[in-house]
Amino acid sequence: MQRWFKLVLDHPWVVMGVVVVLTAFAASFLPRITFDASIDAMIPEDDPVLLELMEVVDDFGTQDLFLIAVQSDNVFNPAVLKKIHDLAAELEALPGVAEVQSPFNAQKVTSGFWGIEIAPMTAELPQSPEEIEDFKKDILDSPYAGRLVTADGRGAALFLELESLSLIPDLSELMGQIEEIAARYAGPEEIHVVGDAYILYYTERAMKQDLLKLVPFVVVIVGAVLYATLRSALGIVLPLVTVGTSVIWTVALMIWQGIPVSIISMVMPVILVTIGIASSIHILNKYQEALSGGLPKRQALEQTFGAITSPVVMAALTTAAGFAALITAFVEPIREFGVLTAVGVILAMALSLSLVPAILMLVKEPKVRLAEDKPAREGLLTRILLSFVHWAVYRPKRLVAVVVALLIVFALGAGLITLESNIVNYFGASSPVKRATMVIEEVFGGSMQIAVVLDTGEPDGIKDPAVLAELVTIQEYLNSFDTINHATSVADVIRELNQAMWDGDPEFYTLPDSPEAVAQLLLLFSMQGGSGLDSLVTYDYSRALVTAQMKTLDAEAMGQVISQVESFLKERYGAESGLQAYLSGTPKVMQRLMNRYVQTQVSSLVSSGIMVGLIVSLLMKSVVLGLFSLIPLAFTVVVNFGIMGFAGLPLDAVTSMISSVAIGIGVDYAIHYISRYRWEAASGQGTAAALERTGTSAGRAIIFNALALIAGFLVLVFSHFRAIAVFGLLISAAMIVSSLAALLVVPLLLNFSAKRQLRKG
Amino acid sequence: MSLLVLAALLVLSWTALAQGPTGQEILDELSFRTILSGSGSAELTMITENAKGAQRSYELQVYVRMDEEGDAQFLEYLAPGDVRGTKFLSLKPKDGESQMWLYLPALGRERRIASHMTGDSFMGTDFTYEEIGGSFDYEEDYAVQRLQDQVEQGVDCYLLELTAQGSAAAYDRVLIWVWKDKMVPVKIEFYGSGNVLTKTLTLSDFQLVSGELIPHRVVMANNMEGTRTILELTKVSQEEVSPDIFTVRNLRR
Repeated sequence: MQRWFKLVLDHPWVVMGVVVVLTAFAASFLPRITFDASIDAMIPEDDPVLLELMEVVDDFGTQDLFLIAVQSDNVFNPAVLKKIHDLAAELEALPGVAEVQSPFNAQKVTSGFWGIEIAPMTAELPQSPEEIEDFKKDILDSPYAGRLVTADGRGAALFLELESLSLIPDLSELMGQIEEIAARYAGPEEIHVVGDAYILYYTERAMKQDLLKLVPFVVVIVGAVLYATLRSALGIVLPLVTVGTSVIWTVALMIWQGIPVSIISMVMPVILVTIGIASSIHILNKYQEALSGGLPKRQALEQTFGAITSPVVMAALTTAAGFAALITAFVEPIREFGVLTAVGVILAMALSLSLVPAILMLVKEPKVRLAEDKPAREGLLTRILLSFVHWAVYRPKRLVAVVVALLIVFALGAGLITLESNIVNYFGASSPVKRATMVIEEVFGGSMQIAVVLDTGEPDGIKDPAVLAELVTIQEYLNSFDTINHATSVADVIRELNQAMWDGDPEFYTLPDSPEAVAQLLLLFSMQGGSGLDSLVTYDYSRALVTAQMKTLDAEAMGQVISQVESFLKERYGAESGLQAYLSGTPKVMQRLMNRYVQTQVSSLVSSGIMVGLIVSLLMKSVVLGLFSLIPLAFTVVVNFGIMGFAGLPLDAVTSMISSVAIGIGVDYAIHYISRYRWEAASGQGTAAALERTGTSAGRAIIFNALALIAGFLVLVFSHFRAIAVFGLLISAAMIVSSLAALLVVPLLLNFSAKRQLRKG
Repeated sequence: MSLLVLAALLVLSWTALAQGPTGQEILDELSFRTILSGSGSAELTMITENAKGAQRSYELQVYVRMDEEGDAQFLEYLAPGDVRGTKFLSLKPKDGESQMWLYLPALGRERRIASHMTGDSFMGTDFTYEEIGGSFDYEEDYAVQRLQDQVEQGVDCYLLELTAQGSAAAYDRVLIWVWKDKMVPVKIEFYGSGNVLTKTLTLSDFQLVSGELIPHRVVMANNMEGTRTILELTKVSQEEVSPDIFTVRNLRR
């Protein structure tokens, strides 16, 4: 290592040159950055639940709802009807929009004296009072009541069907157009847009806005922290250049690997900037100390890096290990984030040990402030820190009692944790998408589509009236949930046609009694130009779909509904039924993700604990000390879950990473404390004295370090995403807890083990 | 008249001769016989294919009568078994309202069904009623122009381009490949607004029936939806069909 620094200090320009060239190369990747906030992207491509959904999409077309709702005092008013009509026409004209189902063009089967007709609800826009009255009666008597127009006439909906994604050159452009059109038609009526594609677009835009806002913000905050600690221009610029370079390299690596920015990796720059500055602070502090000792620049730098390398490497390795542990996660973007951030941390470390000495060699040494003569011995902070040590040393039983009591309380809170995987719920209640979703669900009964596939295993199997009756049973079962509405299937079409064949007599809204009758009604349907069967039944009539609209629920309720439906299907369609039925759709994918958050949590927690413990043990050559450094972290993790439980903050893709991140970063405090204690104890003073000195000196550094991190992480509170804001708050809380735990629990453990050794010896 | 002008005229007329008939002349001479045009009966297989290539196959017995009173069609499904016996009657009197009737044997009921405007899909296939009836009335709505000859389906063809004149035309542009030797179309491409290819009709397997050349395989591809409808004639007769066939009473028989 010494040889390395000799090389760097001998050729600082070479080092600078290499870094500049590499950074310029990396920066050339940045314009190719892509974003992906989709739920599907969160799940591994070969996951069975996702594959099942793909198969359903392949057989029956898209399973994503895209809904535009118009809310008005009364939609049955000539002006409002015209507005809805024009809005639909304008949306339909957009390239990329395949079809717009509106209250006007919704297909109805009628039976009049002129014959059976399958035609749009109305041929012309109803404008006169009589026309409107007829139209109102027609649509409210139809299956579309409640779906396209609410019974109270206060809301109307348009269902958009998009072209398959391969035919849409620029989805975000299309979404922007839809958003613009909706905004233009709004007022006095409210117009809401809800659809997976739109939410995705909105989310990705929010991500970009977040990045543009949060990254400069964290640079300013961290710059202020640096100024407060180091009070020099070099002290601000050097750490920021180091972390900035590491961020550019890491992001370039991500782009090179074809990884899009996800709602999770979005926080990476803020995290890297925040945690990356600590090593620079340490280095500059030590350098100033060496300079104030009267050493010339070159020697001062050699001494600085001789002393600082090992703690810098250790801190980086443990932090990287904490992030790398996320590779055990199920959710793909979490894995990507974990690995990339780990790489970023290592890169920042490498820069601290190459770029930083090179720059310091090139610039004039900073003005040395004389070592302050009044080492804040009288200061409040020192008194507090001393009292921590005294508490740990002189009243260990009390401290243990308090720690255990807190552990029990927060462990109880952890039991209250809920899960969340719906991206809409990642936004706060005031966000437009969240509000639009809530309004649409309130008025139209659901914004997500769920689907049950019924598979007969043989061509024409669906034409069997007994099978159609099963579709009706499934529909009725789904509709029996408060949170599921408008379940439909091909059985509805058959019943409508049968009724039409019997002169529209409502008594004949029934299934006919033979497969032949079904086949002939379907023939009538296609002869009359009926459309829409493709989304309800496969071309060979072997499989049919029951679709329904579902409300966005909190994760637990959604999990309950899904497992209830699944056990209903499993029970009813066992092996002897000859039928197979399964549930699919986005809600199912969300539930799959949610179940895996818990697994992510447990696996990343365990693996980060093991990795960090191992690294500390190896570096300190002591398993006991490795364990000691983990104990404050275990406490931190329990407290974190307790806070989440008590505060009702859900475990989601973002918050499920907190434990690993807290372990990776928080272990530094314990390492710092233990290293300093060993150094102090080696000088032969008593345990209590060594702890006092450690507690006040290392304690100070730990508190300042924690405060700097908290200042950086709190920037996340200003994110568009509630989930990320919560992450920022929780990780800040974890920094407070883990630093306090290091200051209280570590001396307790060190004192305890020293006494034991004394007794043994 | 100067010699020069005379020479120019000669060259011009010689060029015209070498080019053969004009587009209009070809169109006038063209024999447009699709399956359901004229009077007679046929047995045919109708295959509908969705965008993924999955097929549904039906066998139909078709009776057609065109006379001074109007057009009449009577269709009976022979297969598959579950729609066997389903019958469809379409009456288009010269003066009077079109009527369509459907008989579903499994329900034992016939019902009148709303008659479609021309231009609507025939029996839910990729053909319009107009196209299936062979009543391409291009001359009124289109201007014709002859393009460079081409070989299509292995035979020498004239290539005609029909461009819409006025708003009554169903398509913006139509290309017709005409088999020179037989003066029958072998391929027709239909272009919608924006000059987008919407449908392609391919006619093949021409056989002489009562002295007329009739395509026994007709494929209409919907280039927008990716669907296809294939009609294959198995039996054709040009014999006159009795008017008694075309009655509502006959549906139940």
